[in-house]
Amino acid sequence: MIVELGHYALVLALAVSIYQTVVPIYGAHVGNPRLMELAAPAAGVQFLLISFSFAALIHAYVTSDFSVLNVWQNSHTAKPFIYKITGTWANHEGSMLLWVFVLSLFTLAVAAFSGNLPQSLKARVLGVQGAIASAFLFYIVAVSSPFVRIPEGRVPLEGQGMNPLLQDPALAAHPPMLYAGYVGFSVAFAFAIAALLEGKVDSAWGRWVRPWTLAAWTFLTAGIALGSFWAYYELGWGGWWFWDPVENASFMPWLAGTALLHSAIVVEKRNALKTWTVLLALVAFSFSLIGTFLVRSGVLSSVHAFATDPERGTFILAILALFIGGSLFLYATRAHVLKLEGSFEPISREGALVMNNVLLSAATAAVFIGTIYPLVYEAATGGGKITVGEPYFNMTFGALIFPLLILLPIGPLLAWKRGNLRMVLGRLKVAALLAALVALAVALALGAGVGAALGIAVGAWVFFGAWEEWAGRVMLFRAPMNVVMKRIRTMPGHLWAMTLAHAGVGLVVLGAIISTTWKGEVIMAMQPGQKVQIAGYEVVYKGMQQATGPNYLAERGTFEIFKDGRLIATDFSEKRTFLGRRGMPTTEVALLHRPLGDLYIAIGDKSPMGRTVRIYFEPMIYFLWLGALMMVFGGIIGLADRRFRVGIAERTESKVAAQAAE
Amino acid sequence: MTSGVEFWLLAGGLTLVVLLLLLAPLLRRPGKALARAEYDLAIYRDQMRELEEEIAQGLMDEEAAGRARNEIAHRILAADEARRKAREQLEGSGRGTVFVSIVAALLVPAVALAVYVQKGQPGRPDMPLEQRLANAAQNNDLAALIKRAEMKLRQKPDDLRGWLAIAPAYERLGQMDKAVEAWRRAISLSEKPSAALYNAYGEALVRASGGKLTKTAVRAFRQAQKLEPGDPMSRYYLAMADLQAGRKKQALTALKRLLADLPPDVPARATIAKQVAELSAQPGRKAPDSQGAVAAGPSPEAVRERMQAMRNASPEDRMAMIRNMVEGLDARLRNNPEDLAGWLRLIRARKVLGETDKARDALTRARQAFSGNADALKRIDSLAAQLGLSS
Amino acid sequence: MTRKQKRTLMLIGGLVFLGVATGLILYALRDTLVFFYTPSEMSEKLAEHEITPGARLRLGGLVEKGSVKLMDDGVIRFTITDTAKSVPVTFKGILPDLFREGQGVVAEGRLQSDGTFVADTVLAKHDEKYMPREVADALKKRGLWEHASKQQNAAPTAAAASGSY
Repeated sequence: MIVELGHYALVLALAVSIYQTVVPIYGAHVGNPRLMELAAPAAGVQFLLISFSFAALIHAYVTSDFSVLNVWQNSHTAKPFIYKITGTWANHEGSMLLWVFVLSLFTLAVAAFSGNLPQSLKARVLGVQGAIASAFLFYIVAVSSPFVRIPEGRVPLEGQGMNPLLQDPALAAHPPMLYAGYVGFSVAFAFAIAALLEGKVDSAWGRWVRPWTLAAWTFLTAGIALGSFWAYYELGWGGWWFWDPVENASFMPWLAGTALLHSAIVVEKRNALKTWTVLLALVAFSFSLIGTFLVRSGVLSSVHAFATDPERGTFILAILALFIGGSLFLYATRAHVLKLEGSFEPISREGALVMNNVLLSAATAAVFIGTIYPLVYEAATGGGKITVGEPYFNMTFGALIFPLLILLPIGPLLAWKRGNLRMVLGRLKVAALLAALVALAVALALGAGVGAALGIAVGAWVFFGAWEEWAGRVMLFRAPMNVVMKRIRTMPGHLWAMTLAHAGVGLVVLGAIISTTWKGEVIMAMQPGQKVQIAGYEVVYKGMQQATGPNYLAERGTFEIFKDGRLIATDFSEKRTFLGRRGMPTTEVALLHRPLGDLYIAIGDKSPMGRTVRIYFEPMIYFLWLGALMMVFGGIIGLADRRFRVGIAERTESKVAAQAAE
Repeated sequence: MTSGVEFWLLAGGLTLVVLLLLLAPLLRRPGKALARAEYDLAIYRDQMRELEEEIAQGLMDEEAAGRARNEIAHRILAADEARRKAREQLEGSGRGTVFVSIVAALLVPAVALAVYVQKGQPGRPDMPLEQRLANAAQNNDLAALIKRAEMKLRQKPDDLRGWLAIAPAYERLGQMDKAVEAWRRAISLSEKPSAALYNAYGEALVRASGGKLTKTAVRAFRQAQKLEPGDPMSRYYLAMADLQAGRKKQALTALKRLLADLPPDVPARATIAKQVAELSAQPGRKAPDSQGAVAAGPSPEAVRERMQAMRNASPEDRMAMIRNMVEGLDARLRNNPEDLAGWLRLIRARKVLGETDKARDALTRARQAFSGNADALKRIDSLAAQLGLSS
Repeated sequence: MTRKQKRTLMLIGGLVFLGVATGLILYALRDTLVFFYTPSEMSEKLAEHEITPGARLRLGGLVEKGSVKLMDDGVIRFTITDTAKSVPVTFKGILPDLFREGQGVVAEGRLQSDGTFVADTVLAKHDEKYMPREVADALKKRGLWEHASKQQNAAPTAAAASGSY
């Protein structure tokens, strides 16, 4: 009966979410503190109900309860235990439940960590979160329920199995991370709506929004990196970013969120850029909604997806219209209420942050247009198909992001209000020198074109610039060692966060440029015993064998890798055919990590001339993952910074304590 | 239905708890509300403190520090002013009534109930696969039984007994391809596969191909002959193979010989005799040219029909018949335990039917019957080992 | 500079940037767009002179059964068809794993004046249902690709949909 109780809990959660929307927002409107107080318990109840419902679905998956349609469609008894659990969200219905689960978790967190939030703001934020939850829960319960049962007596004994491509550890963690990112921006969105309702955005508002934005950004960064890593080693094509609509859908909220992260700083520090920041918060979450829905429903690749499932399509459009259209309408009618304040110099910290926002927004727009254009074209021409491919994105995104990267090390060194550009550039001498040296060395040693050399110079400039700013802060080489150590220890978390994240961006740029410029590629049909040279390695194909896994059969190709005539590794690449789902086999690549890059071997099909083998050398590709890791790590350290958490309760207590001590 | 009652009790309890949690704050005395400005002030004081820390660390020059200080001080003053005004206002706040929340809370179960009875199936029990498989024997659910065996075999694919048990079950369900595969696995796993095993494999192949004696099937029956020369089953099928290949004379001779060798009480005799008679009745008749080689022998359909006849129609009936025979044999051996061949046949039959316990029982009884006969015991033990019944 | 002048200057700077960014996007769009056609659509467009031989485009359809031939020089020839019209394609390189006769495929390359299509990329990147989306859409319009999706969600879906009591 757990399934039905889970279903009931979900429906109950829908009812509670409506309550959570109506009561606090009404209470805040009329200024009744007793009504506003009801928001937090509702958030708690909401979380408990959705957790129970989600757990019930996971339980159905783990016990292979094929009386649940969703389990039957997506699970299989032979699946390893871990993928029975992750299979829960590897499909549309289950992933939507995961989405609301993460939403309820964030709402609970807002309720729990809101000691420093004014009551009316807290009530409105939780109310808006409740509204988002109601829309999603209504969608799930009405047209996308994971709890639909198969009639008794017709319940099959075996499931159809999960898409084999998704049976992978990185992809098991990818959706929860991504959703935590998407959903995290709902908090910034709720704060923005609450501010519009309240008619007040000030420095304090900026400070409240920042940690939530940072949390969302950190999760989204991790989610995108995991997805990219997965595409790299699971798809067998050796690439890590394809400007695919699905990837763009998660990249757009990231870009908008990054802009929001920076503009919120200006709000806090200078009490300026307020209407813009509110707009960014709305836009970041709107892109998150688009990312969530359009990817899962397949609409991004074709308008026809609507036609195949009109019920869901209409629902999705209605939700998008409600939240995106509704919030923008509210913005248009209420934004003028927010008091404008302060003008500022172009050469200043806030000036640099505005440039950051302008460039990031333009880059977001470029990606958005490229992603949406084929859809618009298809709708406008009645079915015409076009492709906007990598060249478009490389050209526009590259051109817009290049000046941003140049500016990146400079911004943090500029003073607020009135900066001195010459002095700042003087403090980046070492980074400039190192960047030039690295680019020159690489260009001379490997023969790079102007573009690649420039790219490497910029990446190194960002990376070393971030560290030079850090070095200046801790007075490296300018103060005695013990002073430096003390400064390193006492450096506040948000500054560490900045240094790590910026240096991470530098690494990602370096990884991207190097791995695409000097990628080695051999695609050929090989006979057992045949050798091939790539990037100084010799790869010998030894032949194929049969292998079995827990729920798949595999053809396994064995490869020996030699360097300077010495055997350094024996590795395997497999083609796996999974039980349950007939269809295409998945590729398991042989990956050999070396200091200079990855050797990447993927077997393909049989051909008349032998076995198709794709071998790539991906130089320095781990810079990408390392850079992403640094960004995520920076985000985590920033979140741990205590200044985000000092609440009013703590303040008053310490004040009382201070008075008592006097 | 009791599960329905149980469900509504649990769901009702859950709803009640939810309502209590939602409305609990109304029972408490309201906390003292603070004005927005109080919170702002706390934040600005934090900002000021952080600024001082940064200045103390020497991260800012004097000019910038002064500007920042000024700005925050300005905010603090403004917030302080706002706080004073708000204090006066706050007294008059609290319009709207708590009644709204109670009405809204009571709507929660109403909405939940209305939606759930539309969408859910109240009280419908879970159907975890394991439980279904555990109850399979009770419910006489052959498909579930097979599923259970399959899952076991997936974990232990070299379990000979498992394959021997599942193969006839597949045959009963008519899943001949799977039966073929199961027999094949059983053969490759037995150390010394018996003629009966090859016969079973061959028969499954024939049924899977709709009565056609494929090369693989012929090879299986030949293997059975090699292991147990004179084995009637494989002889019959090999004769059928000859017939299908157009070697009618050879087939006829083989069938006649087979008929001569068969003991008089074998039920299949009648079928074979009929077939021999049919074949001998038309020795001179020329096969229609258009039909070619196929016409020279029986069509696969004809073979299948005859097989069916031998099996006494449906596989279920055949199974029942075999079971009857086996039970008869068992009863006979109880009264008349000196028949070694009978015992061996019984043990094998029990095993092939998947009745492992009964096979073991038969094994014990056979050992008792021949406790003094070392030779016989050896044969019994070797059969037990071959079937995987020993110890 | 007065405050007002400064503000005007910043405004102008912003507008210039906006113009440059828009120009860049429009230019890139015009320059990198690739159109997708089925063989029938392609012959229509050719007849209407909307495209000329030499244009870069994507051609999608089914690989005609029995049409795949490997030439001595390593060039692969096959035919892409939408059952109404067919186009001969040549391609030099390694075909993707999912390339099969009778299955959907997308070739990117240039149409020659003799009517053959020289592909430099052959894609058989599939969605869950193992059919390139553009091809699936195009075929659906012709009503050719219904059975495949029906096979996927066999009986119990329909059963559950009709009887969720």
